[in-house]
Amino acid sequence: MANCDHLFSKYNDEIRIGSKKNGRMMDSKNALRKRIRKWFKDNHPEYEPKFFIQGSYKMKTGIRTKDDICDLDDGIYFFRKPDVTGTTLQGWIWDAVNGYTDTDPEHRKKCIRSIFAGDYEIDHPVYYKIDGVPYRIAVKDAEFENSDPKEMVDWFNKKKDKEGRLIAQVMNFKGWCDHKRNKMPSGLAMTILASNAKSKIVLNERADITLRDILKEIKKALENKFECIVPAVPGDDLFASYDQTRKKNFMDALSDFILDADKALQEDNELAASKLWRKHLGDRFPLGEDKQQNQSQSRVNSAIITGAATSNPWGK
Amino acid sequence: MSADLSLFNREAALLVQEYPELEHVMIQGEIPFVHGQLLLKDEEGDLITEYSIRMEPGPDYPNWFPWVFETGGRIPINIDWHIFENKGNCCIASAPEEALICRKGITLTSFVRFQVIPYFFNQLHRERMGFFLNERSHGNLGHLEFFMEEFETKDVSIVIKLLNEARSRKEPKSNSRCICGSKRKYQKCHRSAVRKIAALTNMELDHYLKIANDFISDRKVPKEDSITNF
Ligand SMILES: [Zn+2]
Ligand SMILES: [Zn+2]
Repeated sequence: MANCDHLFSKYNDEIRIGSKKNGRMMDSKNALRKRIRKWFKDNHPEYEPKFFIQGSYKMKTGIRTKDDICDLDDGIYFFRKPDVTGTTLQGWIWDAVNGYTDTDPEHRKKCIRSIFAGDYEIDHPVYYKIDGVPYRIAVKDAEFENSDPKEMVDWFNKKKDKEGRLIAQVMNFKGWCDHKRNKMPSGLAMTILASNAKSKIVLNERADITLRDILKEIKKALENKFECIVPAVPGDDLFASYDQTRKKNFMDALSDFILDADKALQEDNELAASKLWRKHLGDRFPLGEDKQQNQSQSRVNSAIITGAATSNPWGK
Repeated sequence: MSADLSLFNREAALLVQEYPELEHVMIQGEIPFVHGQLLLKDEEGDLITEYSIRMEPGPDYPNWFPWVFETGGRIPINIDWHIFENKGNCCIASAPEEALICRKGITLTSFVRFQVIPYFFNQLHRERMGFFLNERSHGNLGHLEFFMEEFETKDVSIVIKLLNEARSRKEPKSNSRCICGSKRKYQKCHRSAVRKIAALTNMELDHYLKIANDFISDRKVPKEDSITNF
């Protein structure tokens, strides 16, 4: 019954965005903001950009992928009604940031992406906001859509605990999906699923136990209904586009992880338990020591085992 | 059926003498209850932890267990933690087990000592180690597990034979062979287990026989490893 909580702490440190990388990323964010402000001043002074960091960076759930990449969403806001299309507005951002990085920026559906090769990516989604109307995001080759990125962050902030356990678990789940790749759900989807699951359980002090408990609640919820609703306008279902293969792939990955997590919790040898966690989190998860952690040897735990010996709880 | 509240009050008065961290509350016109701290101690009497609980007679006390609630927010209202999701009370034992214990007659004090405290020790095991010791499967399988444990068999068809034996309400001769097929004498084999189970009513025995028969006809005969812990 190896307690791997300390290995999870190390794992979180390993996948967390380090301070050097974070410093570089902040510098780039500031430089890009400056460029964008200047570009509008010079070319379209009637549009004045405001900025707001959003997404995983704001929620503090950002991770470094196994290729050592991380990302930052820096939302751009115009507090006026645009007289051009969303695509044009995005194009202006593209023009503004173009030339700052070695590779060309990408004009994606809902953002302009600047790629700092091998290090990080900075996404610029573009919004406008006028009184009495929700935030509207520019979408490439389409109409503006209602979308309030602050809503998601506020929702998560209400869900999270002050000990940071939910944040740590979201990072674990993102690390899991990054390790598996193969069309696993996005970081946003895992954030939503884990936060929903959290309200069905009590977070355990031990990260290994909490992780297994959240996995089980995610599985139960998805077996009941396979969906992942963004808790913000317009309430998209992130799984709406999943075909049977992709759905099965994720459900199988969940079941496999739960099976090994249960085994790891019952495993006495710390090294053997850590290898079970590694199967799903990859080799950035640290190996444990090759030693027995036989809990019944501790006086308190043997008292617990004795005390519980005649209990056979049941459930409907 | 309705709860015997005056019995509950008499029992509760005795209970709080033995467990002074629990308090017996009686308010005119309301259902009485017991609440307070349940202390879990080791064999030397040192405190390991405590749970906040509340105990109510429930609708059928003393024919069924009183309702026990954990009120400190330490256990989620989640069936996987053995908390009924509709009312939030603890599910302490499988139905046939609970029926048999109550039929023998329970006092609140023995209920707390032999049911509630072990249950919360198991909750503590779940909290510290991540899993319950000896939990029963959900639903009817959990009932069958109880009978399999009582009859010391993993074979549901033997459970059916022995349940039928209890249902017949007449005992074979003590030195005849046991109906389980063990070739041992009934007296030395399943007699005492069948006598214990025979305390269930005909209706209850028929119900569990149906569950066992359905189980076999659905070919959902449990494989050895799908049955927990014995
Ligand atoms: Zn239960
Ligand atoms: Zn026998």
